[in-house]
Amino acid sequence: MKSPFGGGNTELRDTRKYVIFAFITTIAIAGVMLAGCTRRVEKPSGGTPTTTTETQKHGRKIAFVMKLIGIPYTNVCEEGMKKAAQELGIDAVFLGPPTGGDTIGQINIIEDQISRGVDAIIISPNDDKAVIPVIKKAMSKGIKVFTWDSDAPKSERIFYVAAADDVGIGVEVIDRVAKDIGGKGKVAVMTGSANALNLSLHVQGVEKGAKKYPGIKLVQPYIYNDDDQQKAIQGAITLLQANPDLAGFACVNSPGVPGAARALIQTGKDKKVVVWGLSIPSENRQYIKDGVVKGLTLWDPGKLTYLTVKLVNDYLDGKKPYNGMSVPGIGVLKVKPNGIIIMPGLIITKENVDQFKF
Amino acid sequence: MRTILRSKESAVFGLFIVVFAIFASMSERFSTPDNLFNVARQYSELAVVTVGLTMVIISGGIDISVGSVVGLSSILVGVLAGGQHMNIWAACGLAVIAGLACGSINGLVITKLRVQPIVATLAMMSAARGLAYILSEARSISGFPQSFVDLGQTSIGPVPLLGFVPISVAIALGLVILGVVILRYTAFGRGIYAVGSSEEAARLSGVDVFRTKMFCYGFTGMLCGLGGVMMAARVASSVPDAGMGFEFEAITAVVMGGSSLKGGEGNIIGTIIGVAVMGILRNGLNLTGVPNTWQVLFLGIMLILAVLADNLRTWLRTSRELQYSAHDHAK
Repeated sequence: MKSPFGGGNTELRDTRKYVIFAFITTIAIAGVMLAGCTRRVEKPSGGTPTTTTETQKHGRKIAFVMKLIGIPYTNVCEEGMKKAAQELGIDAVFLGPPTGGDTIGQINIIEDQISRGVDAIIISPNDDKAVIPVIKKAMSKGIKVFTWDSDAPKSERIFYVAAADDVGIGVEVIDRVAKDIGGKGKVAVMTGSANALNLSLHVQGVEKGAKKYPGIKLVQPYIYNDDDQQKAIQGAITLLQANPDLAGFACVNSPGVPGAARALIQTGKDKKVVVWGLSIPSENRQYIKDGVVKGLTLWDPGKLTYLTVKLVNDYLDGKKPYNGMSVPGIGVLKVKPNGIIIMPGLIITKENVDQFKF
Repeated sequence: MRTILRSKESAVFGLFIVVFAIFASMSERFSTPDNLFNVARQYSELAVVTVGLTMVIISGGIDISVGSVVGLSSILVGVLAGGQHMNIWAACGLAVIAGLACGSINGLVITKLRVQPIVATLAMMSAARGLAYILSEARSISGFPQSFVDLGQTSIGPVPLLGFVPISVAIALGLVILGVVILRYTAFGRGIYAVGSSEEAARLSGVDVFRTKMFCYGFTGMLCGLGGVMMAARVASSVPDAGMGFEFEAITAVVMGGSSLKGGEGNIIGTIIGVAVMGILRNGLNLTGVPNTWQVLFLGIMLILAVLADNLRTWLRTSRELQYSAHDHAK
């Protein structure tokens, strides 16, 4: 007979102790973890005892099912959901497969939530077609299904809450530039690569918006920075040399804004040329404070889930979202006829840049 | 009775009872027949695959390509029935045959080319997944005829004691019985144990090692093909990443069920209880709203617990026998 951990006759007693010790330790660790989880479950919002009582009284349960969980973006989403759930006194859970792109894993989670008998399931599908049957199944059992972050347009979902309108965000950028340059002058367009769908939609938005201003001319060719800060700077400098009378930059990808700012500082044209774009506050904080960059347009993922919880809760109360609806802390919503709800974007300027930590 | 308590399955069965009791006390929804059949349906594909994998592991091998072959089979159903407008049942048949082919290639590479099982099946894992992506252009395919979707959605019955049983669960149960019969009551099945214990000894005692191994890998591949078809029916779509991570879940279930990765030991009943433990663990955590990232951790802990409990039992028994024999010597 072999011993499970090697060791011969002489080590018999020691090894046996070791096996028993390891067994007990593992059980103890597992026990502590389960206990920890149990506590979590009793107070899903992690809030005060009052919240827990409210939860029990209200008894409404909703479940968010994300594409995957455990990454910074989804953590911000989860915080926003918890905040709204706490305010409304409802039980909300944030679930998703631990690995990205796991379509079947995501469907299994949705099936479990159907089995759990929640009031609503809010999905960001990994696959917009594969979730159609499971959405149908949930709806047939009286569970209301919504989408957020990403849509399943051909499913029976009630509505979709979108982070941003890809075209709309481009329109917003050119509108801001136009306002700051007085509606006339040459504007450079900076984007990443020509292939990315969301970026080409942003550029479409810039072009669409520019038509409103007859005095504005978009400089050709556009700058393609391939998401590379150095290329963004180089491209902007070259363009500035060719167009000394440039009035503004409209940038639609995140290295574009700081790239244009650097180029302007290097050529001594900062504060003479206006910069607006889609970018991250932390990369542009100083440029915004110095006035080199006028401002940024983007969205806050925490607000997206916050808004979604509020809208879903309203829907369960019989209140449907409508176009032009104003939500405190969010702004005015756009509701399209096909059930797509667009959250207003965030405008970051000198005044509010310090509020955003990301 | 004593043999039952001493048996390999007792550790994993104890674990099953504990996990079940914990979740039954935490969620009133958990132990409803509706929910338990939901779990059974979700895990019937894994159960089917592990029937074959248990045999592979008993024979001293390993197959880590199971998840990818499930994915390939699932996508074949969609590509053939959707894109090629083939009859859905013919497409299912071809998908199962494709699984059998993958498994047979594994078996040939391992036996004839003498490649280590983990390397051979690692290659298949990559190749089958790649093929699934190529055939589907990395997109899912849906819109199957209702009769096919029913395979994964409807129940048959009433069956005595159980009531209405989902078709997929019935298929899994049938294959489990077949697997148990092969391993326990046929000379061929005992040959699998012999090959796992010592290939040389098995050969000398007249076991056809080549045929035994080919059967284990080929049968596993075929069951993966069937698992892929069942999965496509259950979710009513063919997904190229179907079965992602299946190899981990399947091997965990087999080892939890008392099979030794060294070969020569194990049985299908233990494996199926292992599958059940993983099923109720994931479902229970979902029902109680525990973050899914924790599930991966819990699965690891369960595996360690099961292996340790098994080792503890074996060790206590061994040491007692050793003490007795030492006592006898003293006399």
